[in-house]
Amino acid sequence: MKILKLSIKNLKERYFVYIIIALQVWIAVFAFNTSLGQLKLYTFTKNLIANSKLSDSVYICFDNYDFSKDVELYEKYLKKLINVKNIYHIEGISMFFENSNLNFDCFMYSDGLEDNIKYKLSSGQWLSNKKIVGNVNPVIIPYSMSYKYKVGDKITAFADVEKKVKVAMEVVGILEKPEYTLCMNIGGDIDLNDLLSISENTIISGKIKDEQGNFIHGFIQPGRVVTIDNLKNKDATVLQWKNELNGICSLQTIEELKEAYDIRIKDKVSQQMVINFILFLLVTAGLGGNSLLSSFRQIREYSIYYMCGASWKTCMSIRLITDLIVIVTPAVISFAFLKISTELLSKSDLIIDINNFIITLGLIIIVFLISSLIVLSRLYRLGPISIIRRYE
Amino acid sequence: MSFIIEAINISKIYNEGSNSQVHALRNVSINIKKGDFIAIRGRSGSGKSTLLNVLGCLDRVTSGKIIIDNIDISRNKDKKLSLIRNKKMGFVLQDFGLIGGRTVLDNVSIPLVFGDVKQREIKGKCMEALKLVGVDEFAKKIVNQLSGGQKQRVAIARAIVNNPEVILADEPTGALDTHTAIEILEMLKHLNKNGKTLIIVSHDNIVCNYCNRTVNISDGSITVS
Repeated sequence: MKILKLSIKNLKERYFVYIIIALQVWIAVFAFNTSLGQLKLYTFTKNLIANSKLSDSVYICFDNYDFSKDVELYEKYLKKLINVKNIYHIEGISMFFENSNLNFDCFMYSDGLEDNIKYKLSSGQWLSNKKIVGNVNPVIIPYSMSYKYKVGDKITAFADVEKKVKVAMEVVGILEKPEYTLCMNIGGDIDLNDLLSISENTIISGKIKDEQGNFIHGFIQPGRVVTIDNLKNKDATVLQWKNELNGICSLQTIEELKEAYDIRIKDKVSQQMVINFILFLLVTAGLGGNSLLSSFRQIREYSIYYMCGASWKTCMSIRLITDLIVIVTPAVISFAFLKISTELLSKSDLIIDINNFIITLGLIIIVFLISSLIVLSRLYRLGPISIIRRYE
Repeated sequence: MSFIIEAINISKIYNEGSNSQVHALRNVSINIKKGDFIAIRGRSGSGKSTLLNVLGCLDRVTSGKIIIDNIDISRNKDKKLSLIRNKKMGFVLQDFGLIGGRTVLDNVSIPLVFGDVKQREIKGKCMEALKLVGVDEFAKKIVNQLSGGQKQRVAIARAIVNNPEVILADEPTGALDTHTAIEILEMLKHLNKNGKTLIIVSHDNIVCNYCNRTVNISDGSITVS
């Protein structure tokens, strides 16, 4: 208790220095977690593709037309696309909760698609095991909604802004974190961050019926058409499709996507990663320097404590507790800030987790320990009286 | 004869075994009785501060024995030495050795904080010590606001607050003018008359005149005792 009191007294006396150190800890945690988060996103996405059932798939990507400006043309080509054998697609619709104005996205997977894309669930069952019974539609909710709903709960929503088309849904499964939704972007710039974008406000379902028993049609966004086909002769099929869809869209295999990923995303992520890592190194070096200076300023104080009856262990404990307060408090706040901000930004590029935080904290603590040890070893070597004289 | 401190053939070597090895003390033997008022005199670098350090349990000897109150402390571990420093020793330094940004009361309470004194007793004991050296009115003042003489009185108050048997002073008048130096020496003499053992390191003849015994040290060896 007395050690804690002395540490707090020390903090109060040098609050300005410690505020600067705390700020540096904040930046270091932010930079290193961002860096590790990007690295993790890169490996996570790469592993996801590598382990995906989609390895024999061919993706259709519209890249010649801006379909958002020409709906008719889009519909025309879409029909043509859907006529191609084994095309799977995802229809999207915005829905409104019954008792509030809040809306959410519902992704309706075409028949058979859900069997190919089985996301990991934290609880419940996948859609293919459930059928629509009495116009109640089975849905999978994202993890972010799990605080409100559990498996078996009913959700009533409207499929239109006027709130006339009522839809009854039953939660059959909850996605495990991190949630991701398969989708693609228009424009040939295939970005696997978008392909496997993290979405926290999306319910997944199969075909959906309203209360009257009518099927609801969503909008098949240009980037959201997906083909999954275990093609025996992929190259021949690709060629055939390319001819058929000539001028409408491009076709890309998973290998081409991976290549695009490696060229574009890896470079982008690694650049950001390196910048953040350099920032972390710079800040940590500054942190070490500041910690060293701060320790040297206090070396006289420790000498006085030692002279008055404190042991080496006590002096080190005072230093350690002061350091821990200065490191852990801003580090936790910084991590919480990072976590909350990435949670709020649904399309964040980062994966922030506790392991990265622990690694960062460990590195900062090592820097502090080294600087403290340098100072205390000086006290040990010179003796307290010499120190008091020299550091007057 | 009861000795409070006995140093038997003590040697202190810094950086032992390396090229920069320094023999600070060479086979020094010294006995200090309870109630002694001793001056250790010597030139700069003669080893007098090292002798004070080892007698005050601030440093360990390389060889030889140091016996305090009939207990050999030469091989004691850090924790035991810190206990001895806390209970039996008080230190007064040339540069006062005070924490400038803290109050007088905070400074004087340091030995009590590291001892087993109850929190509620600390203030009372500090005030008592401050009163004894005549600076109780400055208890709440920040040390940096005091004059040199007042600071040294505060340092003496801190040295005696735990009621130690021995007070070790390293050039206690070195940073003071002659008038204040004499005041401080009178105070130390008064403490000695009240039963405290005093060991003063100094090269000042005035200081030595106040002591009842002078030990001269040169090149790490005692020349005259």
